[in-house]
Amino acid sequence: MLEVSGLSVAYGQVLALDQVSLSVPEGSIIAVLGANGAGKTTLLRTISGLVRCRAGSIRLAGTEITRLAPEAVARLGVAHVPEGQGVITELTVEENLRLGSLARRGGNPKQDLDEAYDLFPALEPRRALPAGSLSGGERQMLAIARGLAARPRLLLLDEPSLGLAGQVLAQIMAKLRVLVTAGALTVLLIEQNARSALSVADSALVLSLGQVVGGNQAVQLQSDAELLGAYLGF
Amino acid sequence: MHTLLVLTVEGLVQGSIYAAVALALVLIWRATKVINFAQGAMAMFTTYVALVAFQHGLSYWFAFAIAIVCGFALGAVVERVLVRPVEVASPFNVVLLTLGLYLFLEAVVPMIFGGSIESFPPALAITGMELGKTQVPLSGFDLFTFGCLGAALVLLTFLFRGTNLGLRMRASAFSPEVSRLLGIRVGRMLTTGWALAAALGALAGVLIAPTVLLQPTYMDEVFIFGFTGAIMGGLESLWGSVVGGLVIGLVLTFVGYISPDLETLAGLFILTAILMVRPQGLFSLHHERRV
Repeated sequence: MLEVSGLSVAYGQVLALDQVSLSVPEGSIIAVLGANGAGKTTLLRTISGLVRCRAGSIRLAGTEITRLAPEAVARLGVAHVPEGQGVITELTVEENLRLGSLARRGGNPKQDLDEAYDLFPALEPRRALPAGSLSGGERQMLAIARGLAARPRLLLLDEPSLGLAGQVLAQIMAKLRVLVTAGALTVLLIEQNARSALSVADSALVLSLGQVVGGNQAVQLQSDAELLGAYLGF
Repeated sequence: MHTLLVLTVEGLVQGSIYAAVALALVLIWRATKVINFAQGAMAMFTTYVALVAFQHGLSYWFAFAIAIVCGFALGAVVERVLVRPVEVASPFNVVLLTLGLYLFLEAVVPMIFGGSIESFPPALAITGMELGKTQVPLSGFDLFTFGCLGAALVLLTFLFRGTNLGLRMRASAFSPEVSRLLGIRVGRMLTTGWALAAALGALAGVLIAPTVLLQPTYMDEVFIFGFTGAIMGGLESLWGSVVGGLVIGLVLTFVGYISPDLETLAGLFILTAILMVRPQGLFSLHHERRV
C-alpha cells in the first residue's frame, strides 16, 4: 500500500530524516518506534504532504504522491490523525465527523455518521457539543472516527496513546484491527510508547535520529531486549 | 418624541451600513486573521463602477447588481493575487498590503472616473412614508437598507451553519492545517471568504452613497465606524459585529443631533476608548490581539 524509499527531509540545516525507506503492506498495521525527536512525526507529515522532502519518493498503491499537496493526498485516501488529536475544538463533534465524511467523493454523510457512532458509541451523546469539551480519550476517538469517515485506504496515526488510558487505547486499536482484518484498511502508526504499539502492530521499525535502525517483526522485537534497550530506553 | 423616532430610525439606518462593513471585516478576520484596511476603498471602487453603469443608461437595479458582483470578483482577485503570496511571508505584511491597496485605489479612482463629486441615486424613495394619516419618518430606502442587512445576515448565518461550504470555510479558518489533511482546499475557502466580504462592502458602499455623495474619500469615515463596530462586537461573531455597527450608528446620530461637528470626533473617541479599555470587544471571551 505504501512504499517510502530514500526519504530525506531537512528543516533548514537540520536533517530530520536521512534516507528512510519502509514498506507498509496492504491490510497490515505497521508501527514506527523511536524516542522524542527521532523523526517519526516528520515521517508522517512528509507522507501526508505537510512537509516537503529533499529527496526520495513516496508511493501510495503504486501512485507517486511525493510532491502532492496535503489536500490532494487526503483525497487519494490517506487519513492523517495528527499528534494531539487535531480535532477542531471550535466545531461540534458532529461537524468534525461531517468534515471527515466530506473528504471522500461520493460520501453519504448520514451513513458515515451512523457508522462512526456505531464504532465509538461514546461520541453519540456528545454529538452537538463542541469538540473542545471532550476528554482526551474522547477526542482521540473523534479524531480517528473522523479519519475513518473518509473511508481511507491508509490511516496514519501519530502517537495514538498520548493522553489515553491503556484500556481505552486497547479498545480503539481492537476496532481498527477489525477493519484491517476485513481488508478495508492499512495502518501506519508512530509511537514513543513501544509496548502499546508492539501489542497491536504486525511489525515495527525503529527510527533514531532520522535513520532506520531495525526492522523486525513486532513479536521478535519484544524479545530483542538489547535492541530495545539501546534505542527505546527500557 | 417625534425627533426621538426620527433620530432612532436614522441611527439604525446609518448603523446598518456600518454593520455591513463590520460584517465584511469580521469575515476576513475570521478567515485570515487580518484587518482589511482597504475594505472601504474597495467598496468605493465598486460603487464608482456601478455609477458608470447607471450613467450609461442601465437601470438602478442592474447597477446595484454589478456593484455586488464586482465586489465579489474584486475580493477574490485581491486575495488570490495580492494577499496569498504575501501572507506566506508574514501576517503583518498583509496589513501593510491592505493599507497600500487603500492608498492605491484612492489615487487611481480619480484617474479612471474623474475627480468630481457625483451624486448617486437611492434605491427607493427617500421621503418618509404615510401610514394612514400620519407621516412616518421611515422611507422606502430606509426599509430597503434594513432589508439588505437582514438578508445578508440571514444568508451568511445559513451559509456558515447550514451548508457544507460554510463548514469547510469555518474549519479552514479555525485549523488550516488539519483542514488540509481532511482534503479541504483551504486556499479556495480563503478566496471565497474575501470575495463574500468584498461583496458585503460593495453593498455598504452603494447603500450609503446617496446620502453622502460619491467621491474617492467618501468611504473613509464609513470604514472607520464599521471598524469600530466590528471591534465592539469582538471581531469573532457575525451578530456581535452587527450589534456593534448598529450601536455606533445610533450613538453617532444622537451625538450629531446635539452638534454635527462632534459626530466624527465622538466616533473616534469611542474607537480609542474601546481599544484602550476593552479591545477584545463587548461580546468576546478572547483576549486582545495586536496588529
